[in-house]
Amino acid sequence: MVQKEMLPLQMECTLLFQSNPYMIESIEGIAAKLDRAKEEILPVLLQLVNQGILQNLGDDDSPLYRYKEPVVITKLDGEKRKA
Amino acid sequence: MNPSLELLEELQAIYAENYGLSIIITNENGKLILHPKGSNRLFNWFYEKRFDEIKRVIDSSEQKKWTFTTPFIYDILPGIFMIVTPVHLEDGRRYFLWAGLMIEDGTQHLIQEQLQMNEDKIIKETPIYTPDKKQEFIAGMKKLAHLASLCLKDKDAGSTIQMQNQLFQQVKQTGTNTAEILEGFLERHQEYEFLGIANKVTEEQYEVTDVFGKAIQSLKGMTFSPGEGLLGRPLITDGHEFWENVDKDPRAISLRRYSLHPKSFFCFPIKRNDGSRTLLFGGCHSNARFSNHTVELGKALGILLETGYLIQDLHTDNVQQLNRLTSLIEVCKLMVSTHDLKRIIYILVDISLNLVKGPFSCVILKEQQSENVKLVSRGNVDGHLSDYAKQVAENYLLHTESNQEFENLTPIINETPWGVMTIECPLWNRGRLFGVLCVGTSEFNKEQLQEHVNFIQTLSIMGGISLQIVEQEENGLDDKLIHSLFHAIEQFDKEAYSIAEEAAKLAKEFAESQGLTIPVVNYVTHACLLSYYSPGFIQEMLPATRIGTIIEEGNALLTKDFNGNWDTASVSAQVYALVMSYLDKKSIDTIVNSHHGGGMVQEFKAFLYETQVIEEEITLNESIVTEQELDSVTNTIKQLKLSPREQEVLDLVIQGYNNKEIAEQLYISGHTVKNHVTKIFQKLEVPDRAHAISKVYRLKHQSG
Repeated sequence: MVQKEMLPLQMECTLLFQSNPYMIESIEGIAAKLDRAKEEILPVLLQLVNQGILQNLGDDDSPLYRYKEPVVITKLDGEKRKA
Repeated sequence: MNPSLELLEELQAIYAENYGLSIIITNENGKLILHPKGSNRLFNWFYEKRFDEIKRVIDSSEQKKWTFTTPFIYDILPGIFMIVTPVHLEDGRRYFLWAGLMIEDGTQHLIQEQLQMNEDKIIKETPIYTPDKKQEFIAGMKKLAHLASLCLKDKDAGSTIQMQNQLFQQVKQTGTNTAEILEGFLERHQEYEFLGIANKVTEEQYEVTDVFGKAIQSLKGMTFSPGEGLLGRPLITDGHEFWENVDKDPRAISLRRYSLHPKSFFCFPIKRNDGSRTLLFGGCHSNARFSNHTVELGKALGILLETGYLIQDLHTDNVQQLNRLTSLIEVCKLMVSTHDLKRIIYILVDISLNLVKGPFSCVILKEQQSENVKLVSRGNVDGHLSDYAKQVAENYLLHTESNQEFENLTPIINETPWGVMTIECPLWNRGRLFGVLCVGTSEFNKEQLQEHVNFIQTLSIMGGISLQIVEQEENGLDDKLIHSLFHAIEQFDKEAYSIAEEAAKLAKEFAESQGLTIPVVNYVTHACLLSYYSPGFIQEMLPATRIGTIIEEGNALLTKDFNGNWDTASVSAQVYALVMSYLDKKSIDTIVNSHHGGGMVQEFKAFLYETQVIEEEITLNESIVTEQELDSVTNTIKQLKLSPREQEVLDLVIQGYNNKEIAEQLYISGHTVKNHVTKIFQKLEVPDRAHAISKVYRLKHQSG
C-alpha cells in the first residue's frame, strides 16, 4: 500500500492505542476493533513499530502490540523520566 | 471522407470505366479501403453473389505477405482473371488495387456452365483477356497505382492533425482508462500492431505490466533497468524514440528473448505527477519503417496517456488529501475535546510523526510561570535531541517576553545541529505561547514539504487552542481551591484570616503599581491569601502553581535580620515578604535598615509613603461612614416587605456583590439568588439593580 493511502488508518490506529495505553492486542484484535482486514492493518502496524509508537511484545509468529509512550524530559538539563 | 480518398475514389471510378473493369482497393491487411467502382458485370456479380471467391484471393495476399512491386494477373477461377496491383508507399505501407474481371477468349461457354449462370449476357459483356489487352490493362493499373500512391501519401502528410483530433475524440468517448485507450487505438490505427506499458517497480527496475495487440503476450512481466536495451534507453535520455529496422538492431535482443520480433519499435516516457516515469512502447511486426504520420500518431498517443495519467494522479491525490484532511479533523476534534494535557502533547508528537514520517518529532513546552522547559519526543537521535530542544527553547520560549505577537509566528524550516531538516511550529493561542512542535523531515520535494508544513501548522494551531483550554480548566480548578483554603482560615483563626485578606489587597495594589504581569500579580495575591499555611502543604495542594514556592521563598527572606538573598529572590517572593513584614510590624524600617540596596524594597517604601498613609485615613473615615450607612441601610431594608432571606440578598446587592458572590456568601445556589433578586425587583417595583439600590437610598433619605 502506498504510504499516503495508509495515513488515515495509521492515525486511527495511533489514536486507538493512545486512548488505551495499557492495551496489549494481536493483529486480529486490532483488525476487529478498527473493522479492517488484517492485510490492511499489518503494514500500518509495522510502520508504527518502526516509528517507535508501538512495541511488539510477542514474537514474529504471534505479535502482540502495545502503545509506547514518548520520551519525556521534565526539565531540560534535568532527569529523564521515561525511555 | 478524407479529401485525398475522395480524389482516389474519383480516379478509381474513371479508370474502372475506361477499362471496362471494376476496381476495389484494400490495405495490406486485406481491409477494404474503397468499395467497388466500375460496371464490370461479372466482377459485380461475383462481388454480390460469390464474394467468398474474391475474399479468398484478398486473404491470401495478406497471409502470404505478397511483396510484388508490379501488377500481376491472378486467376480467381480457371479462365477468370483479375489484375492485382500493389501500391507501395515510402513508409513501407502497402495497398492493393484489385481490378477485374476478364475471361480468356473461347472459354465463355465453359465459364457460364461452371458458374451455372442462366444469363449469358454477363459473360458476353466481360472483357476478353488477350496478350495485347493484358499489357494495356497492366499499363493502366500501373498509372492508377502511381496516382493512388500520391493520394495516399497526401493523406499521410495532410491528415495528421485530423487523425490526432480523431484520437482525442475517441479518448474523450472512452474515458481515461488506459487499457480501453490502447485497445481502441490498435483497432483504429493498424500502423501499430502492438502496444505496452512498463511501470517502475523499484528505483532500479521497471516491469512490463500491460500489453495489447498481436504476439506480445510473452513480454508481460519482463523486467529491465533504466538504460538497458531498447526499453530502458528512453528512461535515461528522457525523450521519445522511434527505431526502424529493429530486426537488425542488436539492442532488440532483450525483446527477442521474450519472443517479440518487431521490425519497428517506439518508446515514449510518460512523466508522472510524483516525478516518476511510466513507459509507453509499441511498434509493428511487419513494417520496418515509421511514416511521419505514424510517428506523430504515436507521440499524440503518448501525450494523451500522459494527460490521462495526470488526471488519474490528480484524482488519487485529491482523494488522499481529502482522507488526510478528514483524519486531521478527527484528530483535532479529539484534541480539543480532551481534558488531559499529556494526551494532547502525545497526540501532537505521534500524529506529526504519522504525517511527516521523518526521523523524529517532539514538543518543547515551557511550564507556566517558570523557566522550566519540558521535552516530549519520539526518535531521539543519539541523545542529540535535548541539545536541539534547548536551542529551540532559547529561540522561542525564553526570550520572547517583549515580543508577544505570537499570531505572527508561522512555521519555519530549520536544521538541527546534526543536519536534519526540521519543521518548527509554535503552539500558541490568544497571546500565549505554550511551546513549539518540531518535526524532523527527510522530504526534499518542495511541494511535498509544503504539504507537510500545512498539515503540521493546522495540527499546531489546534494544539495551541487545546492546550489553552486545558490550562484554563486547570486554573479554574485552582482558583476554587485557593478560595476554599482561604475561607477555611476564618473558621479557626479570624485574625490570621483578616491579615491574609489585607495582605492580599496590599500585595495586589503594589504589584499592579509595579507593572507586574497579571499572572505574577495573581500568584503573589494568592500566596498572601494562603500565607497562613506551610509552603509544603500548599505545594502538595496546588502542585501546578508557583504559590508554594513563593511562600517558601518569601518566608526565607523574612528570617531574623532579613538576611535572605534579596538580590536573587524572585520578584513575587520579594513582594510577598515585604507585604507580610509590613502587616506584621506596621513598618518596613527593619528591612530597609538591614537590607542594603534592593530596588523592590525602595519601591515598596515609596509606595507606602504615597498611598498607605492617605489610604489609611480614607479607609478609617470610609469604614465609619460605611458602617453608619450600612446600619441605616439595613434598617431601611428591614422596613421593606421582604422575607428575611430577601433582605439578606438585597443587603449584599447594595454592597455591590454580584449573584455569584452572593451565592458564595449565603451558601445558596446561583439559581436561588437569581430567584430572590427577581422577587425583590418585583416587590420594589424596579426593573434592575441600579434602581433597587437607588430606591433603598431614597427611602433611607426620606425616613432619615
